[in-house]
Parts: sequence; structure tokens; C-alpha cells
Amino acid sequence: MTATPMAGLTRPRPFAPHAARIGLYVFLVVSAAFFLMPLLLVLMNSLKPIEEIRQGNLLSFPVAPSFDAWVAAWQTACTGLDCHGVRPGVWNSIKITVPAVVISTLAGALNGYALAQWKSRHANLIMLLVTVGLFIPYQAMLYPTVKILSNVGLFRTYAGIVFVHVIYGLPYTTLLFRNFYVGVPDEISQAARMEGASFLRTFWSIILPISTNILVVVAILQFTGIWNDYLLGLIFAGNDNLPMTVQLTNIVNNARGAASPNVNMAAALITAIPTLVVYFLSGRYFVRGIAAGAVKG
Amino acid sequence: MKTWFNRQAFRPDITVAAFFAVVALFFYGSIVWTFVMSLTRSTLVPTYQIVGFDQYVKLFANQRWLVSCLNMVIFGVLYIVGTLVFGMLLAVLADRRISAESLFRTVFLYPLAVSLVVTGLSWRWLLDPANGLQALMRSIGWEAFTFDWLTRPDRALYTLVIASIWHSAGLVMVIVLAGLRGIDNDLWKAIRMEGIPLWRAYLQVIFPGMRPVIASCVVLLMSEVIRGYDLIIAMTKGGPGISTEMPAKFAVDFYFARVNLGLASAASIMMLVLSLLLLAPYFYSEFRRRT
Amino acid sequence: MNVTRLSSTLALFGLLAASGTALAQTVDVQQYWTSSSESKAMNAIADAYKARGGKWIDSPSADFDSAIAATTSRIAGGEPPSAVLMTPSGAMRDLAAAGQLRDFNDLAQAGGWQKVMAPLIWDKLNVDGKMVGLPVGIHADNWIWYSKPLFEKVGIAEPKTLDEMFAAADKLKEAGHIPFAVGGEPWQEVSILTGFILALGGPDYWDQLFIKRDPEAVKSPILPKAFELFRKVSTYADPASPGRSWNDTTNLVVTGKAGMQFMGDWARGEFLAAGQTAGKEFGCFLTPSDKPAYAVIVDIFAFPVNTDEDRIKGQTLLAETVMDPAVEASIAAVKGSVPSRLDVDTSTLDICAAKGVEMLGKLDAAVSGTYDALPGDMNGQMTDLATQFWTDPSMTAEAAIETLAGILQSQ
Repeated sequence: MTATPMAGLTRPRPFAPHAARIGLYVFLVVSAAFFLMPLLLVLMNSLKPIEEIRQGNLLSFPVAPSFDAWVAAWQTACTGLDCHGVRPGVWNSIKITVPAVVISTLAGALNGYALAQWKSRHANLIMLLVTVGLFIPYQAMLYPTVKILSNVGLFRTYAGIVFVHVIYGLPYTTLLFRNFYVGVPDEISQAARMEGASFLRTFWSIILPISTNILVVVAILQFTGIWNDYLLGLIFAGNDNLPMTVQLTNIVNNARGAASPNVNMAAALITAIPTLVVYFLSGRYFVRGIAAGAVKG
Repeated sequence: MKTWFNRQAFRPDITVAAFFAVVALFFYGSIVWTFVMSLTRSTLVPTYQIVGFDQYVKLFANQRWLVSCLNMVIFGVLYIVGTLVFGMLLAVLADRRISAESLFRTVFLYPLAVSLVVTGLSWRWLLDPANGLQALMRSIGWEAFTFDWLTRPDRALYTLVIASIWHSAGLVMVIVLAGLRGIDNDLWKAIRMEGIPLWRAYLQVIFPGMRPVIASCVVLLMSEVIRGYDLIIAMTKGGPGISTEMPAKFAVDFYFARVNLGLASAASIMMLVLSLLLLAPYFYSEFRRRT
Repeated sequence: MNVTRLSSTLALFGLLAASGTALAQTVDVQQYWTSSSESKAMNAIADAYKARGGKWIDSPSADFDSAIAATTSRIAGGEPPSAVLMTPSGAMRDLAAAGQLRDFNDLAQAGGWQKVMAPLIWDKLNVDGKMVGLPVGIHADNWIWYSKPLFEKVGIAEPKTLDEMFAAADKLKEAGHIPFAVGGEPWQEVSILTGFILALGGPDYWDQLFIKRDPEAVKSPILPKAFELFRKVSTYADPASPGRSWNDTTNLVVTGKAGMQFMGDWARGEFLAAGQTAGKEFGCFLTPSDKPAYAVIVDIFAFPVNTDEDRIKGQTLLAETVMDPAVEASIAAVKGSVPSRLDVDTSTLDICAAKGVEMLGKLDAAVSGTYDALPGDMNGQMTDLATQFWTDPSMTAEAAIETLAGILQSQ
């Protein structure tokens, strides 16, 4: 999968004529514009004062850029009667996402390792059932999940929303890890077993330390998924823990006073920043994770 | 604690069992319960009096459900084909030893890090005929420019396709690019020696050889289609009219806003059946390969 | 992590929370009043409630449907809100029939509430002899709002008939204005359709069609005509209409960009919030008809059954707050509604509100709006049908009526 420099010399050569080469770059630049346009639009308008938005159209550059809308989106925009901006939502999202990512990743690693080690004729059946679970539209499971959580007193609680994210993420993380551990030489586990190490001990002391890459990859995928979740937060989080996606839609749909698209757009950007930062910082892992998950899967 | 931790025998089956119990309870337990509910007339509170398949009959007499299903098919086909073609094209171009490859790749992939809620809002603002792209084109002198698909019942669905392709094309690009990079150099040499034109090489040799990679892309995209909810809520709320309604939204609406547990359960079961039917070929080949 | 310390910390929190709430009377309000006039009204209620010593937890939703959805999921999960803003609609009756709503018979008796309410209103609030809804204000949804300056500029007078109304629309269109400001959301569209049905058929036909749901009623020539007019209005809508919220749409009339808007009288609150006066900057009329009628929609609080002592007390306190004539008057003043208590001083209301009070007093004119008349799911299906007809010009009135007949006979 890795492209060595040597490979670069012999593989696809630019034996296309010059004109085609220019066409190629034109296409790439146009595509880049397509990908950048929506977010640039949001960014530009979040920097405009409201009068400027009313006068011009959304795609003009800001004449007198200001961060007022950002400040308003952060701390004074209204959801219902409360006007505290997206700040509480962002904080809630952090509180939900961090433990949910850590738990679902580690549990996925343990389960994935167990599945990879478990030699049984039922292994394939279990794999099938878990994989199908991955594709169950979760909207179809909402109501029963509400019932289960309410029976154990976790509905609309902080622990409840973290729990739901962990459960719904588990088949996915488990499969990613299982696919990784199937490729790890069995001798490593065998050696530990010979020395009488327990399963958990082997996992914790020997397997986890060699899994740093896949751990980072899965954690990033889970982080993106959970941070960006809307529906589960809406139903399971409860008033005090509403994640920022829910607060964002409340702010955007909140019609109080004059509509203020600049504040709405600033709010949208603020909520997108954390995943974008993780993406830009971890670019290589992010890409490798997606590719590895899909190609091996 | 430490001693217990170490004293256990090497027993992965215990962990497997615990994990499977969770999956069984939440995933399969939910399905069984939902199926039972779909056989009842439950509205707000679950009742367990079985009345047969009435709800399914009602479901398929419901115009909105039928429109939702049709929308999902149209959306699904266009989205999957569009994302694959665009993503593969980008991958091929990125593989042509271009300069600033990582910059382009970063730009193409970043939408994946953006939530579907923000994706939907951004595209809603961009395509709003009164303020967005159309207004810009007209303000710079192109008076006849019209792009009002978002507000047209016969076109709004396609704006969802555009926004979703925007969100996922980079994903396909990265996966396919990784596949391309894994291709044996000898194959390229052979292609060059035979003098096969590049486009034919990709279409007839390279891509057919990457079938498993492309299949897993399709499966990934398909699961997005069936779950499609957040994007619709942020972008069109199912409108104009019911022109962008989808099954997932139907189920959620009928569970909660319409307070019709029985019908919503029937819709959920149908969604599940549908996704299993669509994925059956994949599962079949996958597990035949494994065993 | 030290487990013992964690659990003792948690226990301490529990104790603190318990002792803290034992003193307060808490109400957790699931509500969807987010426009400027609406939030003023909700703040008026919240402030009055807090002034009486209550603690208010706000649970906002984006719109009516989301509020009902949130309520349903919370009830299903055993964590109901303690008050829900809604209408005495199918959803309220479904909840009441499932035994999920607290009744206020004792308070109603003590307060003599039945005597101070119009019979139509009182009946809506009661299910099986139990008063489960507390009125916050009364609206009607067959109003049309117009911009006075724009009418003067184009040279048209307030229409007295449907023909005059469409003639006015044509003149506005010729002059380059939006004739009918329509927000293209399903619920906004359906109320235009029902407005025409009521105007053409009058209260008796309305009763036959929506309340008694007589299978013969759908065969009346009134329905094809109503669908035709409904279609006609759709041809006047501006391109930006789809998905526009009702208050953004009202704002088009407020700012003189559009001539008229079909909308319940909550729209009046938006004119008032913009500092305008009825009869001066804006005017109002009911959908023109020779059988004048008033399609009543009541805003209510319903109170899901709660078991917490503190929350039950909170419900009682909120009920008393809402039924206070002074609070009712302050809501009506900002929200555009008419007070639900007949003993509230209405002498200060503007001409539009006064017209509403007058219509409400006519026993043969006031009817239940479809929100309140139909079961929730039936109303939802009719809304789906209306928006489908509105957005699909190829759908014929006959096809729509056939579907409507099926919907009305489905239960």
C-alpha cells in the first residue's frame, strides 16, 4: 500500500501530452473550488456585519470584516429562552465525545482481539451477525433503545448518551480492530500464552502497545462520528447535555428577532472547528485509517 | 484486581460472549421487539395485542412512504454512481504524479470531517436562490443564470445528491488511491509495453482488478443512503412538499411526532429488510471468501 | 479511580440535589415559541412564574412537530417534561387517552374556570370529563394580513370577496410586488387550503366534513373549488417561498415587499414586535365568505403526569400562573392572541383582536381548526396531502379529494 520513491519512478508516467496535462490541473483546481466553496461562503459571511449581508449577496467578500458574529454565536445567540450561544453545546460535546471515544475504541480493541483469537466454528456466524449489526439503520432502533435505557435509569442522562454512543459504535470499532489483529502474527499471542499470561494480560501488556497506529485511526473515526452526531444527542442527551449539533440547529431555527445569518454561520463554523483541526493535524492517520478500514474489510 | 487480571486463563471466548450479549440485546433484541410492535396497533404506549400485518398494508397505502422509498432509490443510485465516478476520477488524476498532491488531497477529503448538519446548512445557504449562487451570478451581470433546484419540488432531491457527493467523494478518492498505489509495477510496465491507451488501461485492466476495493466503497456509501437523516433535516426538512422525504425520516417522524408506534415499527422493519436485500450480495461473497 | 470516594461524592451530589429541589417548585417546559413575539410571550409567562417563586427549566424545540416528538420520546423513556406547549389537538387527546396527562378538575372547580371560558374552548380542553389542557391564548388560522401602505400605493381596498382578493393579488403582481407571501412549509400550506374550505362551505359544512367526518361530505362540489383556489394561490408564490418560516414570511408584509399573507393571528404579534399598529401600517380580514367563520386554534399547556413532588407543585404553580387574568392579558398583548378568559379586559385590544373577540362570541361562527378537530395522525396525513398537491401541479383535485376521503375515513 505504501508508495516507495522507487515505485514512483516506474509507475504511471506523465506520458500524456502537454495540453492534457494542463487540462488535468484545470480539472483539479475546479474540483478544489467545488470542495472549498460551501465552507468559504460560510466563513466569509460569518465575518460580515448584518447590514452587509442584507445589502449584498452571500458570495461577496466582506468589506469590513469583524468577529462580532463569532462572539454572538459563541455566547449570546438564543436557543429558546436561554441565550448563551453554542458555548454550552460545545462543552457538552466535549464531555460526551471524549469518554465515548476512549471507551468505544478500547472496548473495540479488546473485542476485536478476542474475535481474532477465538477459534471456533461459530466465529463466522458471529462475524456475520456483527457485520449485519453494522448496517442496521439506527433510526430503526431508537425507540427500543429509549425503552432499554429508561429501564436502567439512564435515559436523558450524561452516562446514558455516552453509553449509547459506545454501544452504537461498538460493532464498527470491533470489526476494524478484528481486521487488524487477524493480520498480526499469531506467534506473539502464542508466546504470551506459553508463559501463562491471561487473555486480558496479553491484550493489555503485549497487544495494545503494538496497536498504536490502529488505535489512533479508530479513535479519529469515532471522534468525527460522535462529535458530528445529531439524532442520538437530540433524543438521549437530555436538557443539560445537549451536544452542539442540536444547539446549532436550535439556534439556526430560532427565529427570534431579525434573522441573523452571520451569527448562524459563525455558529456552524465553531462547531465544525474541532473535527477540522483533528483532521488537519492527523491527515496521514485519517487517510490511512479510512483506506485500511475499507481495503482490508 | 491485579491478581484476578493475571490469574484468568487465556479465554477470548468470555470476551466474545460478553460482547455478543450486548450486540444481541441492543441490536437483535431491538429488531425482534420492533417486529412485534409492527404487528400491533400501538400508538404512544406499546400494546402487545397482535393484529397481523395491518400496519404494513397501511404503510404501503401511504403516499408519503412510497414517495420516500422512491426518493431513496433515486437518491441512492445518483449518489453512489456520482460519488464513485467523481472519486475515482480524482484518484486517477491524483495518481498522475501531480505537484501539490497532498494539498489537493487535503482539500478533497476535508468535507468528511464536517458534520452532515453543517454540510446541509452550508449547501442550503449556498443554493438559496435569493441570496446564494444564483444571486451572485446575476449580480455580476449574468441575468439569466438560474439555479433554483433547492426550491423546486422536482429538483430538490438532486441538491441533496450534490451535497452528499461533496461530503463523500474524497472518501472514495482516498480508498481508490490507496488501491492504485498498491498495484504491481510490473502491471504498469506491461501496459506500457502493450501500448494500451491510458483510459483503456484504467477501465479494462486496473479498475476490474480492484473490484473488492470498489465493492467496499459501494457498501460504505449504501449504508449512508439508508441512514440518511441529518442532511435532510439540515437542508430541506423533507420539502418542498414531500419531495425529499426518505424512509429514515419517515420512521423517526412516525415514532415521535406522529405518535404512531405501530406504523413506525413497520417502516423500520421494511428499512431493515431493504438494507439486507441490498447488502446480501456483499455478505454472500464476503463470507464465501472467508470460509 | 478510588471507587469508594467516587460513590460517596455521587451520593453527596444526590443529597444536595434532593435538598436543593425540595424547596423549589420546578417546571420543565417543552415549548416551541421562538419567534420574536412568541419568545416575548413565553418570557412573560416564565417571568410571572419565577416571580411566584418557581424554577423554570426551558426545553426549546424548533417547531410544533419537534416539540411533540420530544415529548413523546421523553414520555416513552419515563422522563416526561412537566409542561408541554401544544394545542388541544389529536396529540393532546392521544396523550390524555393513554392516561399520560394530569387533570386539573380540582383547580378548575375551585377557580370557577368553566364559567369564564367560551363553551367551545372549554369543550376542547376536556377529554372524558377531565380538564387536561390549560389555555394560554386563542388564535384563529383563517386570517389574511396585508400591508396598508402597499395597498394604498397600488390603489386597492380591503377585499370583501374571494374574487376581489384575487383581483387585488393580480394588481399587486402587476406592480411588481409579491401578491401572497407564502412560507412553503407543509403546515403553512395546509391552513390555506382549510381556510378556503371553511370560506366556501361555512361552519355547517366544516362540521360535516371535519368534525362528523360524514362520508357524503367529501362528494360536495365545495372541495374541488377549494383545491382549485388553493392551486391558484400557489401560482402567486415567490421563488424563495419553499421552506421559509412563517415569521420570515410575515416580515415580507411588514416591510412592504409582499401584499398579503394567509396566517393565523400569531402573525399579528410580529407586526406588533416591529412597532406597527393594526389599521395603520397593517390590516386584517378573515378569508372572505358569505358565511363568515372563525377557525379557532388554542395554545395550551398540557401537563404530563410526573411523580416528583417538587415537579407536581411546579405544575400547579404554572397552572395558576397561566390562568391569572393579568398574565393572560400580557400574553395577548405581545402574542397577537385573544385571552381565553372572558373576564380579561379587552377594551385595550386593537381592531384585529377586537374582531377576533367578536367572532369568538358568535356561537355559529367559531369552529375548531383542523389541528384541534382531527386526530393527530389524520391531521398529519392531510398536511402531507396538501403540501404534495401544492408542490405537484400535475396532481388533480379529483385525485387529491379521493386521497382526502381515504384519510378522513381512516379511523
